[in-house]
Amino acid sequence: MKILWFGVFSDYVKGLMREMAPMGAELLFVKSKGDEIEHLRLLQEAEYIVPNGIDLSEKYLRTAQKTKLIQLWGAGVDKYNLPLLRELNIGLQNGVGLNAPAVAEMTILHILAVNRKLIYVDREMRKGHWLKTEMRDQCNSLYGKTIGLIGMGNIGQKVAELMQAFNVGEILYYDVRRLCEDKEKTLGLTYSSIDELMQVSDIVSLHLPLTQTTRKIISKDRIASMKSTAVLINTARGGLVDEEALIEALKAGKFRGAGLDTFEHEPLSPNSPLLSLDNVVLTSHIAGAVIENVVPRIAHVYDCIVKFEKGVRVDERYIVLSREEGTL
Amino acid sequence: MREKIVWMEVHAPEVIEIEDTVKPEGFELVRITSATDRDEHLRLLADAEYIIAGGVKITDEYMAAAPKLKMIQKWGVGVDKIDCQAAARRGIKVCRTAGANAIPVAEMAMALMFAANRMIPYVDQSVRQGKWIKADMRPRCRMIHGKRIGLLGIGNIAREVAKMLRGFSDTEVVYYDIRRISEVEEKELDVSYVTFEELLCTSDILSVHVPLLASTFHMIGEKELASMKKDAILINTARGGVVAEDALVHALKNGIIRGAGLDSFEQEPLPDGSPLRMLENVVLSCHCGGGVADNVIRVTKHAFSNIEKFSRNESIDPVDCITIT
Repeated sequence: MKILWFGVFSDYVKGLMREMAPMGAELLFVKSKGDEIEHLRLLQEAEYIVPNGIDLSEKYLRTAQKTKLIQLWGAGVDKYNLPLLRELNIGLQNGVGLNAPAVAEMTILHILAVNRKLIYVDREMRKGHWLKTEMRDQCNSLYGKTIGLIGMGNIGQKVAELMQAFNVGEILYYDVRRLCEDKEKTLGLTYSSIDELMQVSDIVSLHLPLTQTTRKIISKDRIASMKSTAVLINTARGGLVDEEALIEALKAGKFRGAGLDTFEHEPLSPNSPLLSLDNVVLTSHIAGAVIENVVPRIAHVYDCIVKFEKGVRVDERYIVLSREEGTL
Repeated sequence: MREKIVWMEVHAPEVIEIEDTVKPEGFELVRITSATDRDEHLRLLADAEYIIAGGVKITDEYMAAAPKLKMIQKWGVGVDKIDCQAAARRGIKVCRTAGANAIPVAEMAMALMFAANRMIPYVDQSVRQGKWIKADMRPRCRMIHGKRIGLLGIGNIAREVAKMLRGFSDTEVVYYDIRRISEVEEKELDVSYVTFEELLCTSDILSVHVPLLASTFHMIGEKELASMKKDAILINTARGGVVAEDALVHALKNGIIRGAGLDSFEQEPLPDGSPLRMLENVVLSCHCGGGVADNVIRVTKHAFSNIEKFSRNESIDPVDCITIT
């Protein structure tokens, strides 16, 4: 069974992938993110693909003729063309929930960092500027603040759990599916419409998947409706936000700042106007990228692949698209 | 005759505007306009009854220049920049605003823990330089979940940090302080007491929350850093002098510990030549742990209220009063 790790990993992580590999597995690794010839050669051989950071285009998928399953180690399936996968009879499974604690931590980090302009302060200090007096007016604490969480899946719930301990005021949330009352009570949540949430929250944080209906859900109008002291955090997907409108609003100081781990186009262009803004914190879609998260995710991927190989069904929540049996 | 308060710290105009909204009746309030203009300071102090102290040192010389001075009220908690011995000798009362800064400083400690754990300034800078680093960060980044957090000191700020960490269900919080708190308090905060040695050797994140005193000066030195876990990070939102900075720089450069988040330094402002400025594995901030707009009113009211109480001969909360033995 040939498993293709379709992404670029550090030697340390590759070592773990080899160490943990199931019996009888042959692992394939790509050397470069941009070498299409290498990619096509490896895709021809792969029975299982575990993607990370390299898009599986239609050309790539049509080349992967032996592939039975794409097994993600994250949750987001926004990059996958499901009708095409169905046509090619390739299954798709994910690792929903595995990333939640790491991404929730990154979310809190962005909230605190933007609230205190921490990265700007660090950058100025390295240049020799001690900004103490002028910073006080630009910084806020979380005490008594209204938190607005858009999307209430595994990550949103984890963020709510962590936020509760920070002396915040109300925690509002919006999701197409409302949680049961008990769950709302344990997490200290109040259900709200998305428009009201955008207008009243001091911190707005996104925890939605990217779908046809959520694309640019944070529209120009919704951005314009935010409080002038508000902060926007996006550790979900760049496509959720009208990035052009966001940049305009940040430039014009319409609200206080943004913490962004995801962007409309990744990698972020070296020409993006975001790079020159002081009121943003930028990270390279690394919310889930912590060492503690690696072993459980590799284990999950291999477990799913072994089960698939044996014809044992994995937990329903990981199945995005089933493969028709007996057709290959 | 109105009593005179001299505010011995420079604040931004927007902040002064907020502070002035809670100015007490019956006092004259003047402010210094430069942190370093000694002549101005001495001139303003000549007929002052009260000082509100901040970043400017209140020396014996300053007290001598203020013959009417009755009380020095710190806007904040650390009184290490006030010559408390001289004040005691001259019969000048020294007070602080205990607890008023605790929440913002605790938030800063949390921010630095997360940021150092994820090397965020380095990542942000790389993105701004047009680099998209991901694979190389994974082995270098850590979570707070599942870790042991060690608090050095268990005063108001450390207690707030402990409370903020309660959301992390599988995180263990331990502390060391010369005074152990009651079992009830320990239970309430979900913290356990350990020796200083154990705190150093077993913490994944060590956060400093002790005041700077003769007994805490360089409490974290070469030997202590060497006994920490190789993977540990050190957070200091207290006072730079508690940590031997040269030893810390050495430890950070040589992988003796993984990283640090620092809001206070042995010398402030941080000197131009400081090697800390060149390190990837540190997060630097400018002693602004307490510096948030939405806490200005709380600290200011607290400080003014102590001055009013003193002026009316009312008693001030003992936790605010500095006693010299």
